[in-house]
Amino acid sequence: MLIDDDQNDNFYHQREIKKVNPNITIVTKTTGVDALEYLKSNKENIDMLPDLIYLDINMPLMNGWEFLVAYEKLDEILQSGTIIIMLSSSGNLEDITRAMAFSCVSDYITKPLTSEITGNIFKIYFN
Amino acid sequence: MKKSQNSLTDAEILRQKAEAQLITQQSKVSSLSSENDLRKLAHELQVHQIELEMQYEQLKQAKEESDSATKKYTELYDFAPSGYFTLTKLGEIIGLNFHGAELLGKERLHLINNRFGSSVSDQTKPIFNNFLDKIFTSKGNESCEVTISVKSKGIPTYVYLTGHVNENGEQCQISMMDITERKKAEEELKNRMTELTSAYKQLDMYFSDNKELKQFAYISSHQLQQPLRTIKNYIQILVEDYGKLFDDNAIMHLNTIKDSAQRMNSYILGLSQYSRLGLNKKLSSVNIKKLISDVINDLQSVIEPLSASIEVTEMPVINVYEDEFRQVFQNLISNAIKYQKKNNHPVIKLYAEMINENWKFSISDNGIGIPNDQFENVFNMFQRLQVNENEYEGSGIGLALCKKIIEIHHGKIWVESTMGQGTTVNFTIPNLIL
Repeated sequence: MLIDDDQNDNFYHQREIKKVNPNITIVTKTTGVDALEYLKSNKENIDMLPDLIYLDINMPLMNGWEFLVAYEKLDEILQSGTIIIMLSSSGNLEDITRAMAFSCVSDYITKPLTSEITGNIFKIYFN
Repeated sequence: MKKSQNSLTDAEILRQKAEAQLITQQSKVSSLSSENDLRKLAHELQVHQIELEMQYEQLKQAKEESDSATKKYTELYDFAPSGYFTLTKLGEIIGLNFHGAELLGKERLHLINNRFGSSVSDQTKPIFNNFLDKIFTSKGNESCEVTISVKSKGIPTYVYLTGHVNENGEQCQISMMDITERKKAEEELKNRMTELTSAYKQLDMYFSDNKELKQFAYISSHQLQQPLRTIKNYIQILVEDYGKLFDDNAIMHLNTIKDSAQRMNSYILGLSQYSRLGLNKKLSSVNIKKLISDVINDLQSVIEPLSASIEVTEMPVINVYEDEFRQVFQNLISNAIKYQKKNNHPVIKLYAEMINENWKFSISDNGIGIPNDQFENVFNMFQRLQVNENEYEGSGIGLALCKKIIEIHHGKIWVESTMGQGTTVNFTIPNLIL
């Protein structure tokens, strides 16, 4: 799942992910609110829940941080089996430290997401 | 003078009394039979007389001394630099010295039996009345500050009054000091303080404005990166998907766009770095030798291909903002390697010396050099000296960043250079307290 308000980034990132594995199902959401709605609506449909979320920080309405706070309050079933990786244009140490303070966040990478990077992530987290 | 006449009269009375006594004694003497006794008595009388004369002389001298002391005291009283007043319970003046009269702006005679309060300004009259009441109730020393309205002067005179009640409890002694000058100085000081406070406030506002500016630069550089990234990504998509359809010219144009985007990216990153400088700085004790060797390690990928030699002499352990300070060496060493004649092996020397409690660091190279008239300009943002930007890739931010970092450390940075021979960048770092 890609959560990013920038449609161009989403398009490019999808391409790069598909380069690693063209059979991956990718859901893109342009706001944190939409993403939360999607997760909640699939409570009975666990197969539809994402294995991996790439989360942007700078977004209107609900930014990445606010999403994380709301996400941690979700039903445990909705959280289990999902890995969150921050995907931001900011490489600031403060942002990285702040992200790592969330127990649900596994990693932090700066844009753009390339096929090499996402390939590595798949290797590390999904073998 | 009246008093001394009185005392002379006293002396005459004393004399008459003495003579009267003598007559009675003589009458007694006549009744005595012995001639021997008579002689004795005469002797005694003579001795007494001498004694009396001597006592009189002593008295006269004491009187003269007392007169002269009184005169001195009166002069002191009249011409003292303070005003002295004797007031009744109602505040009527029954005695005062010249200076007191002068301070009230009237003649001494015209003040006698007048109320002191009538010279006090309306605004401070209640203060004076309270002061007078307290003198007679507390029996101790009282003081207050009031203003005297003197018609001839136009401006009020500030005076400091101290007073205490007399032994009889019916009058009081007041001394008055002119404190107008002191008040003026105080007023001046107060005005200066107000000016200073407002200047300080302005400065504070400037700094918070500056903080907003930094925030602005940070956010805008962040935002600027977004469309730039899109440009780069979509060029890549174009090349990947339609590369085969392009001829060599089209590919060249695409590469130019990519390079420009890359350059803009480094400008924005530099700007972002610059704007964030000093936002979260932390002073710590840093081993500079270790810091430099870390930087050299990080730069191995550019040092090795050019076989650059970097010599580092003894370096101190000093208090600096470590992350920022590392950036200074990183930028300066990078520059020393980058701005070289083609096929030249860079020779870079780093050395430090203590000058007047400040550490002076120098980084010298054997590079292309900087023209004399550019020694100041090189530290300006986006100031690049190379006409052909592609020959030496740089963002034009490195030295501006260094200057800012050194200034955060309250130090100075400057360059010395000879064209074609090399450049030395020097900077000083004062002793910073943790």
